[in-house]
Parts: sequence; C-alpha cells; structure tokens
Amino acid sequence: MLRKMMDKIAPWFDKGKPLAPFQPAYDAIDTFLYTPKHVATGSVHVRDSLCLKRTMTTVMIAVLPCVLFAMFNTGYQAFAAMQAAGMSEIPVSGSWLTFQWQAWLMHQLINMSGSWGLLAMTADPSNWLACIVYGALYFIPVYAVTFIVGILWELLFASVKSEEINEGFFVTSLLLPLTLPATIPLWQVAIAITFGVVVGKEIFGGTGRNFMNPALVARAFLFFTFPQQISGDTIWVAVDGLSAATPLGMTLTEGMEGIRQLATAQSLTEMQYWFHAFVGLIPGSMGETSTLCCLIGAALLIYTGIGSWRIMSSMLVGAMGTAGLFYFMYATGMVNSPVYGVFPHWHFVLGGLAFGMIFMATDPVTASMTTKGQFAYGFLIGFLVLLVRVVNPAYPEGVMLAILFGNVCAPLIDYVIVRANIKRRELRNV
Amino acid sequence: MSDYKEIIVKPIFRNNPILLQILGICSALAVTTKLETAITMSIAVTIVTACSSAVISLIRNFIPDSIRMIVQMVVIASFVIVVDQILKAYAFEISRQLSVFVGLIITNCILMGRAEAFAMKNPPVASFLDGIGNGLGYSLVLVVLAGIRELLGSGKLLGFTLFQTVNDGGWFQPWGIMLLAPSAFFLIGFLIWILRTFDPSQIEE
Amino acid sequence: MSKMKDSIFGTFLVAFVTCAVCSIFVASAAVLLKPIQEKNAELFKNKNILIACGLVQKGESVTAEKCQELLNQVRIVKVDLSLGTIVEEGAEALKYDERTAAKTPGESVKISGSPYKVGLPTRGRYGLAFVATNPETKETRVVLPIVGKGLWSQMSGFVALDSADMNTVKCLLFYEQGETAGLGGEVENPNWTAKWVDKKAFDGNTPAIKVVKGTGMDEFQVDGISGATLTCNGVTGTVDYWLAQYQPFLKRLAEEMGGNK
Repeated sequence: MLRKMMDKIAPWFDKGKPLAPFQPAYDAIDTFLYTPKHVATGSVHVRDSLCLKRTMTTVMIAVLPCVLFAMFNTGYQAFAAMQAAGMSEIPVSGSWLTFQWQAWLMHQLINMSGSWGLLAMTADPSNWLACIVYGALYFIPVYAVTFIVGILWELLFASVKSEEINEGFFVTSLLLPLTLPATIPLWQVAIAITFGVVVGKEIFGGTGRNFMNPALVARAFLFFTFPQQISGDTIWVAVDGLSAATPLGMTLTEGMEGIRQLATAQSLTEMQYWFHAFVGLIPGSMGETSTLCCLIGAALLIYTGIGSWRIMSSMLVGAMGTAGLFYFMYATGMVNSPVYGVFPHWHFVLGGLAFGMIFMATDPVTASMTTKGQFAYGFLIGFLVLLVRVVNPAYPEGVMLAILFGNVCAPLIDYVIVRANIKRRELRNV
Repeated sequence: MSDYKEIIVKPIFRNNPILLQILGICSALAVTTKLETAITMSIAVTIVTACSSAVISLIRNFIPDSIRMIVQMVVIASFVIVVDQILKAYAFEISRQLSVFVGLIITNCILMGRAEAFAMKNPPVASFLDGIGNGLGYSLVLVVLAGIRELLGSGKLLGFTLFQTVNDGGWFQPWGIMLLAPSAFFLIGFLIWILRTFDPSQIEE
Repeated sequence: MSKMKDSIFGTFLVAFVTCAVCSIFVASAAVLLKPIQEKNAELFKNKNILIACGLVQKGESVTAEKCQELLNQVRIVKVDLSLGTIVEEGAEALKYDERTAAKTPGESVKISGSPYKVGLPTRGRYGLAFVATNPETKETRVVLPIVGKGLWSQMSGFVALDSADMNTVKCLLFYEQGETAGLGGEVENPNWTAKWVDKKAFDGNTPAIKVVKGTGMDEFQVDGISGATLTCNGVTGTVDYWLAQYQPFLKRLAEEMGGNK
C-alpha cells in the first residue's frame, strides 16, 4: 500500500512539476524504505558488495548498545547523584528560561507508575526502568533536534544542488548526541549540527568529499563556542543543582589519587571502580562512558569489515604506549605532575577514547585509505589523545581534537604511502 | 573623473583585497574581536596605504629597479611607525589592545601589493586614490567581521551592551569561538561565499 | 635618465636620500610625540592604582590633572619586602618598577620553597604599596601590587585591604592578562572581582583566601569562574603569595597607624 502511495505521488516531483525542488526529499524517503531503483550504468568500479546504505545501517546497529546504555547511564548518574545528596524526589525548579521539563515529566511519571506493579518506577539508581526512561527524556530530545535540524540542511543543499540526499547523515546524527553531556541546551545542539553539516560536510561537496568527521566538527564547534556547557564538572548530571566530577577531570589535577577518591566515595576498591568505568557507570558524555558497549560495536564493525581493525588496534597501541611512557616518566621522577601517573588501563576506560577509536576515527571517508597508512593514522591519533590529555592543562579530554587532527593528516599520510610504493615499484622495474 | 571614481570603488566589491585577492588575512584575524580596534586598524591601514602609494608613485621614476622593493619597504615602514607613534600618543587604550599589529601593517601584503602593482606605474593622484580604495575595501571586511564577532562573542557593539551576557546576569550566552582566531577564518569564508554568489565572475576556475 | 638611475652611483644616491628623508620623518615624529606617550602610559598606571584605592570608579574617564591631584592624596611607599620596612616615600618611590627589578640580578630575590604557587622565578627585592583614605567614606585602604602566572599568561593587578584590620579585602583588580577570552579572561570582569570584597585575607598569620568551586562559601573562599579552574588557581597562588610577602610590612603599618590614633 505504501509502495502504491509512493508511486502515485512520484510524478509530482518530476522536472517541471510544482514540487520539483523537493525531489531529493522524496527520493530519500523512497530509497530508505525500498531498494533503490537506480542501477549504475556505464563503467563502474565495484570493490565489494557493500553499498553506502548498507554500511551506514551496519554502523547504526553497532552504535545501538551505546545508545541504550547512554539512556540508562544518564538516568543512573542522575539518581545516583541524588542518592548521594540525600534527595528522594527530583527537584523541579527554574524560571521559564531554565525550566527543567524533563524533571517535571519524570516526576509525574513516577507518581503515575505507582500502580503499575512490576513497572513501578522510583527515582533510585537500582530501578533500571526509571533510569532508562529518565535518560531517554534527555537523550531523545537531543537526538531529535540533531536529526531534524541536520536533515533540513541536508535537504536544502540537496535541493539546491539537485542531488540525492544520502544516508551518511543518519550516522552523524546518531554519533553527535552520544558525545554530548545530558544537560546540553537544545538550541546549542541545533547550532552545532548546523555548523557540522554545513561547514564540516556540505561546503566540501557532501558525504564522501568531507575531509573531517562532521559529528566531531559539530562537537568541536560547541566545545570552543560554549565551553561552559560542554566541559567542567557541573554539566554531567541531569539534576538541577547537583554536580559530579568526571574521573578524567579528576586525573588532571590529582592523578590516580583523584580516581581513588571517587572510588572510596562509592566504597569500591580501585579495581572494582575500574570495572565500573569499563561498563560505563561513571559520569561523562551521554554515550561515551561505556567501553564495554563500544567493544560490542567494535566486534560487529570488524566482523562485517566496515570498521578498520588496523586503525582501532594501532590507535590503541599508540594511546597505551604513550600512557605507559608518561607513567614511566612519572614513576622515575622525571615529572612531578600527578596526571602523568595515571595507569594506561585507566586511560583506556576513561573519557571518549574507546568511543572515538571505534566509531569516529574509523569513519571511512575521513580516515586513511591505504593499509599501511591506517596503521600510521591510528597510531598518530592514539599518541595525540594522550598528549592532549596529559600535557595540556586546559583540556582534560583530547580524543576529539586528536581525531580531527588525524583527519586533516590522513590525505598526507596516504600520499606519502602511495608515493613510496610507486618509487619502490619503479626501482623494481628498472 | 569617472576613472578616479572607478579606482576608488572597484577595490571595495569587485576587487576586494581580502575577499578576492586574499591579502592581509593575518591582521583581519587578529584585530577583529572588537569593533573599536577594527575601525582604528582600518583607518591606520587606509592612511598608510594611501600615503605610501602616493609617495612611491611620486618618486617612481627615480627608484632604481635593483632596490625597488627595499625603497618601497622603507617608505611604507616610515609611515607605519609614524602612525604607530601617533596612536600611542592620542589613542593609548586602543594602541595597547592593537599591540604589535599596528607595527605589523608593514608586513600587510596589501601595501606592498598596491605599491608594486599600481603605484609604480601610475601617477600620484591615481595611486593615492587606489590606496584609499583598497584601504576602504580592507576596512569594509574588517568592520563587518568585527561587528559579527563582537556582537556574538561578547554581546556588545563598540563597547555598548546590546545583549546582556549570562556572566553579567543577562540571558545571552556569548559565543566563545568568536573571540578566537578560527572564527574569523570561517566568517571570511562565508563572506567570500556570499560575494561570489552575487558576482559569479569572481569564482576561480 | 634611466641610465643614470640604474647606475651604481644612482642606486646609492637614491638609497641614501630615501633613508635620510625617512629617518628624519620617523625620528621627528617619535621625538615630538614622546612626551604625550609617556604621559599616557603613566596615566594608565596611575589610574589603576586609583581604582584599587577606591578613589576612581572603573570605566570613569579621568584627566591627567585630576589623576595627579588624586594621586597626591595617596601615600606611596617603597617597602623592603623581607624586613617590612619603608625605604622610600612619596612620588620618587613610584619610579620603582618591580617587574624590571625582578629581572635584574642583585635587585631580585629567588622565589623557591613558597607554599603559594605564583609561577614566577624571581621577585624584586622591594615592592610598592599605597595607602589612601576615601574622603567620603573615611575608609582607608592599603593597596598592594600583585603579579603572577595564570594558565597561559602573566597577570598583573592590585589587591586592596582595609587598613582597620589589615585583613578585609576591599578590592581586587587585574589590568593586564592574556587568559582565555570568555573563561579565564573573566578575572578582569568587575562582576567577578566584586565577589572578593569583604572576604578575609589572613587566617591568623597565614594568607588563606582562595578561589574554590561550588557553593557554601566561608569568609576565606571566593566562588570560582566556571570553566576556568586553572586560571583561578593561579589567582589564588598570586594573591596569597604577595599577601605573604607583604605581611611583615602590613604588621608594621598596622602598629604605626594604631599608634597614630
């Protein structure tokens, strides 16, 4: 039936018809629902049986564990902070400008759910349903704004250039919200995704021609434009008036001691707390905290061959090696600053390292193409992540900046590798 | 007479030194966080370009080819130093904010470019007007950039508060990136985009 | 003509004449404008002293004469920091420049082992201090110059204490800094420095005032600037360091002023 309807309205978008400028929008909806009708003609290069659509769909499935965990953890962190502060009800406050409608709605839901038996919700970190619902109240608006604003820009550009819209944006729109804190104002999200799509992608010619990851461009724009809403320690908890320091932020000034303090505050041993961080039960950007969920996604990406295992592994080696070097410098007394003394395995589970490594750095458009180049590219990013994290006092997290820098260097790395290869073969054929 | 008008008007839109010739970008990034400094800088550059072009044009028949560039540099540098001194004397606060950038007018490619491309081949009056025109073209971009950056970056224009910022108890969340140099790159890019949409002849092949 | 201009003699002649004319032009401008420039630099410095003394409002425009007149009401002293004694008084003392002295061997003292992180390697042997009474409120302030490192840059400013107890902060201001605009740069924002007013500088004999994050400030704590923790740490270190250095002088001054009463 839907097919019939789509076919029926199709002629409206033909050339010369009133709706002609919206042809890309129609096409996007049509091909998203059904197999594309277009068949490549003439000489085409087929590298394997993957098309862009299938690639993007696989990535979206791989990100799903992170999305679900993002919702859970946002609620969990909020309720845990309330518990620590001795609150039993979500505070609803603020003027009309800062009104926290999520808190108000959750309050109503909790009151209503009292009679739902097993599904009864309380503002308690051990009530997983309440955690997910509360987290979703924060995550879904951010995602919706990202998606709607971004897709409008995509449509506008596609219409002006009379090209088809493509699925690259679906991944971008899903990755960006995961890298943001729950309390990010929605209008800032709208501005950021506008910048990411327009400057990070469309002005270079759209998906496939962008040299930087649009989701990271959007996040970098937010990071430098509204630093107070995206860094610091007052933003990670979705409860008005409560704050929590991220473990990564603590390491910056106090090193391992800061992590131990956080562990003691929850009466956990250091190792137990590491496991907490690995699973993702720590404050941070919504979808970045869970190294475990990222690894599940990584398994799928590597199994389907979409994410490059070369980039992931070399980035991990680069980051862990640099962290080890810094730890060695600290242990031998060459440097005094405690941030150098953070163990490499802690760097692995803190901040956005795993998320960036698996979903951002491997973006096939902006990463290196050559096999050897991918090793160099990953290693460079891993090294830079630690360099920014440890050596630069102003930025606690370096994954975003490191990957953007890697993106910029990727064509250069490829060029050098290709040149070297050509030279070697020339020598062989003399 | 219409020739003279053409000399002044052409560099403002059709042949803008920043937007088409892509010269003088460095100072356009550095001094445009506030409208006040941008205007001061614009006036300084316009005066120096006009005067040095006129002087170079006046002595163009005496300048030996072998030391052409150096003579141009010396003339430009003299004007720059004098302007810098005058600013320090009569606009101390602004010159403190502009710091080295007034001195760095010497390295602004617009000046050498106009001296070499126009003043060496044309009479003094035309050269003077060409200097004014290019200075105004530069000024236009600087003022637009600084206007956007000051308004979004600190909610003010010329120091008057238009948007009360959050830190001062208002509603406006200032755009920190506007106070950093990269924003000027983006904005110049957008200006070039707009200009070339209206005047496609400027698009490079 | 063209032959003559490209000959070696012609080249030298043109080079010489251009240089001569230009240097006269530049030199005369510099010489003529020098007095005005110096006056400006002095006015800028004095104005900040007067703001810290509470005799001028920030943003108020003051003429050079008015500034001088107000400055005459201020007691300017040059202090030997380690002994706390006054070595020079009056307008002559104002000529002392701590920042130049800090870089001059023999005039400077190494900073090491101080518990306060000021971020500088040396300081001058002497320091200036200003004592001023506001004719309207009758409140007397002791103003101390401070300098120290923030996150990126060297920050210069003044801290003013109420002379009644040599403890209550009356003013803090920075007139020169290069911190991140919008974050650390907010140390210059009067709305933030206003939070320092009426806080206590010393807890017993140790400088205790500090910038902290969060809520629930006691009398020694100032609410930090969000997103600028490291700059704020620099401010804490700088203020406490100089308070400690000036402490012997403040004690002497308190005795002296108490004796006068």
